[in-house]
Amino acid sequence: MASISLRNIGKSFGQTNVINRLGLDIADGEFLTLVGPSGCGKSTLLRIIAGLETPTEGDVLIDGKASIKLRPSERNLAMVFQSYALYPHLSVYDNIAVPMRMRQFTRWQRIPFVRRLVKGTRSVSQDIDEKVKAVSEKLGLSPLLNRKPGELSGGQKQRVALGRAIVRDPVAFLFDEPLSNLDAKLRVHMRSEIIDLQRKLASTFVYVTHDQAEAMTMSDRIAVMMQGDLIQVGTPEDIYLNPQDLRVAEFIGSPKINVLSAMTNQFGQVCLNETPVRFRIADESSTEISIAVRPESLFVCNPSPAAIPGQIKHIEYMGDQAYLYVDIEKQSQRIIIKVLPTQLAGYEIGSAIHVGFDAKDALLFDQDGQRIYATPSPRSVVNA
Amino acid sequence: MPDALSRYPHQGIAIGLVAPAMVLMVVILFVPILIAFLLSFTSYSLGSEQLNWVGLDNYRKVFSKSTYQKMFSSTLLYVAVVVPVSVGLGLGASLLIHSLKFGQNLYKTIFFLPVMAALLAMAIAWEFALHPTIGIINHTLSAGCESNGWYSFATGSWYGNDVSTSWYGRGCEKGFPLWLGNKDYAMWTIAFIGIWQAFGFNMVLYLAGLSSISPELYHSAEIDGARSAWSRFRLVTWPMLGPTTVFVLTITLIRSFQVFDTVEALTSGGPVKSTYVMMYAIFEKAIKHNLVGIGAAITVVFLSFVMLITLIQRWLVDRRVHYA
Amino acid sequence: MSIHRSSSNEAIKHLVLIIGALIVILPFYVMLSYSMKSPREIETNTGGFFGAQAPMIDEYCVKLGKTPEECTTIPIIFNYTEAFKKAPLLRYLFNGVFVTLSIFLIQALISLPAAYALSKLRWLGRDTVFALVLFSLLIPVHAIALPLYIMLAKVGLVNTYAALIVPWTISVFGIFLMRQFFRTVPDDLIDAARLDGMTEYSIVWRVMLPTAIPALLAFAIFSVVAHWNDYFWPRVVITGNRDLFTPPLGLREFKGDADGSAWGPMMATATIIVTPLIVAFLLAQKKFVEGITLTGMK
Repeated sequence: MASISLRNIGKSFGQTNVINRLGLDIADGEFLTLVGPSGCGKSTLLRIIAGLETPTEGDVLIDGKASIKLRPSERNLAMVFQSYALYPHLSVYDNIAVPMRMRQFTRWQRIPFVRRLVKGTRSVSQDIDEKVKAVSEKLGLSPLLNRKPGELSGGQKQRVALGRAIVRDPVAFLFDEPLSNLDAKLRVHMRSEIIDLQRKLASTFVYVTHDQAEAMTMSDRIAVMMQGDLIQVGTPEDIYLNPQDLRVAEFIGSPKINVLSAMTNQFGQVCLNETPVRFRIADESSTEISIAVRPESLFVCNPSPAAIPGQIKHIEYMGDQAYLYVDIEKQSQRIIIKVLPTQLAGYEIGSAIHVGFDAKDALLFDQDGQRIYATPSPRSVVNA
Repeated sequence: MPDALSRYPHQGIAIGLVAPAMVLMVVILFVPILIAFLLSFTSYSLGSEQLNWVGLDNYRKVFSKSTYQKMFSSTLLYVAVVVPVSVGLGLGASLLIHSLKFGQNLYKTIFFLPVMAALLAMAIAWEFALHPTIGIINHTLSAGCESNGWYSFATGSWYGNDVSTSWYGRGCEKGFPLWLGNKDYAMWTIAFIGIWQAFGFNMVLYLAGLSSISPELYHSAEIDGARSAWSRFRLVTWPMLGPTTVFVLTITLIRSFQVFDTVEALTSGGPVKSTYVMMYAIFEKAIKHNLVGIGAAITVVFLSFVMLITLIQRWLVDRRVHYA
Repeated sequence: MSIHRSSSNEAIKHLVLIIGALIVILPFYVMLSYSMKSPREIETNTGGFFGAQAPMIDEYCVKLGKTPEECTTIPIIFNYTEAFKKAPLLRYLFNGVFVTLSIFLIQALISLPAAYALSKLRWLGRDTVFALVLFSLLIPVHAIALPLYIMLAKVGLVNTYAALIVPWTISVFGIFLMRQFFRTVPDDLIDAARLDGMTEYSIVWRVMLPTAIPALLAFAIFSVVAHWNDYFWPRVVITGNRDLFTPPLGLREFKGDADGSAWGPMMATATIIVTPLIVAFLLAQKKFVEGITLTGMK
């Protein structure tokens, strides 16, 4: 088991920077998820940890040891790939046994037939056999040991890949979008299997995904990457409630957070559609800012000067909840309000409504997308 | 039968569509096999319209006369040299080229040129290059005798080797081989041209095989502890190229059994029948000398070889269908 | 993989490949070079790649009673004009084109309908016919040359264009290939054509053929290269009638009666025969490699 520290890692291909000098400490036994849109550099970062890519600068410390010069095989990490990367010509048993054989057999023992002539092979073989059987038992693969990967379903292949990873007690596990080739139902199921596995092994997991729901449900901590930068690292709760960057706020949470464009005036008042809302910011100058409010924090309210008038364009009924899609004057983005189905009565497409939110639920971002903090007025409900 | 009509509504049309192909297939492919089989038991020759039944005489001759023993041994020598070497070179070249950072296409193009060029024309060009007196090869070799450094390296004299025991040293003293004119070298020279022509084809197939191997497999192997290039080759490349290898082996085998152009144009089976390969034997015996019976017997033996090889390949391929 | 690769490694790989490339190019070099040199330069191995191109006198021309001035030429022009004068090379080239194209066209004409019936229609006996096709893939036509020759001789077709073309009109490989390709064409397309009132015959030519163009092109390259370069079969069925010689046969005859003075023109002939396919290959490498390695897709 080991901690992993990234020191000043940068990677560029020619002129393009894929990763801009970043640092990250992953604790021993932690489940850390690297999340971000495709092309943000998260997979490259994982492959740098694995040793499959060499960074342009910086170092990777595994258990405190500078490892950048080590080959992937010398880092004692395990990795599960998106395509599972099972050896198609080997049986399930052999696939799981490969990492053990590669490490425990000597050069001569690795050659079939010759193996038998070399001293000490038997005890090593037995050791490997026991390990492989134990692991496949744990993952429910025992009946499949003689099959080839081509004869397995997606979920079974996924389990074999996991088996191959856990069979040799690596110091940490790396996952590169391991669930993205599975269908939706199986994906949810495998999530919980992986979480269980992590609890049992109490090992360090570094998990890359573009699916924010996976990141939210599985991780101890989430690291959000955008365009080669590590923007925010924190617990799922922290990332959801306290995003430090508009892009993080927009990326995490489904449906997407609502972003309203607003202005501040010279008194530090925030004005939405020229109407001051009741909170202010420290900076007293006239600039554009964004107010971001989660769908569940918006509500339909009675008309008032502070409430935002809008029109329902679309209603999505989901059974246990419903979404109202509302167009607001002078705002380019259509906003989404999450309501209970019981609250739908009386609304239909085309209905004119008023929308309000509690000031404490509003997240403010400056023009560059950086979080700014409001100083709420005493009565801070917008529609009051 | 209304039932059959509803199950096979296009029966008549379908028969019409395949009929020309079927007729030609029977006339051009099946009937000749039958004819070859029948003629191989006769002493038939074109012009004399009699069919003299001779039983197994032709086969007995083919398997006992020294001419035909030479035919088998030279064909097998050719096949035994060309197949492994051209497949090995094809694999080697493809591995090298695949791992290059730049220049991949250039080498691929050059190595593929011999596949495109008419073998007969290139065989004649090789004949010139190998010409004992004016050819560029012997010319270069004897020019090398004058260069001290190269001479001592190639003869091994730098190592204290006796110059006259080395191939190169003897060549410098007594002249380099006649290649196609020497019975000890002729088959090897023909085989060399065969390899020259065939390996680019194998290389291209191997390159296609290599590029279809997922890079993730190599990464996975690397993480699983396959440290050396050799162990990654053993664990990933070689097994993944298995189907390609089976195919490349078969097609090279069948093609090298059919070697003809180089032999006919350069050696006519000689010197001393050292390059008397099967296709040339059929051509010479049956078509030039009108000994159809013998030719037919060789044809039958030849066909059995080739079909056996293909059947083995099919069996190997079927056994491996479970590749992902 | 970008892991730990040193540049000296790369240099060694290039070195090995360059040596290989030199050996591969050697006969092409010899062929081109000889086609430009004078007989003296060839015999003495001088003149470098292009030859000195010093003026030379065409001795045969002098024998015809012309003045030495009229008969003075330079080697490259001498060799290439001689290639066309000494033998009817143009005729050979025409024969080559005619035979290869006829073979391909007939192959397509026969294979496409059969492939359609085997892939898209349900009929009694389909599996049997397909099994026969698979079996026939085992038979190399060169191997049954002798009985085919006897049959052609019996019907008096030896030394005709038909002898050059007929044995190749059936390409079981073409049928197999096209069938595999047609199987990937959606049935809906065919049903739509049927609803539009097309007959099965017109579906083959007006629906299937256009979708099959890429596969057919690859097959065309495969077929044309094989038959343009084929030497064995023409050698068997064309005996002495120069009017029917294909390019390789013409070159072979040239070699048969060539003495030292004709080596230049002979290599010029070889160059002319080899060049069309090489140029086409260099222009459309991908297509050619695809076509030639077609046999690899099974």
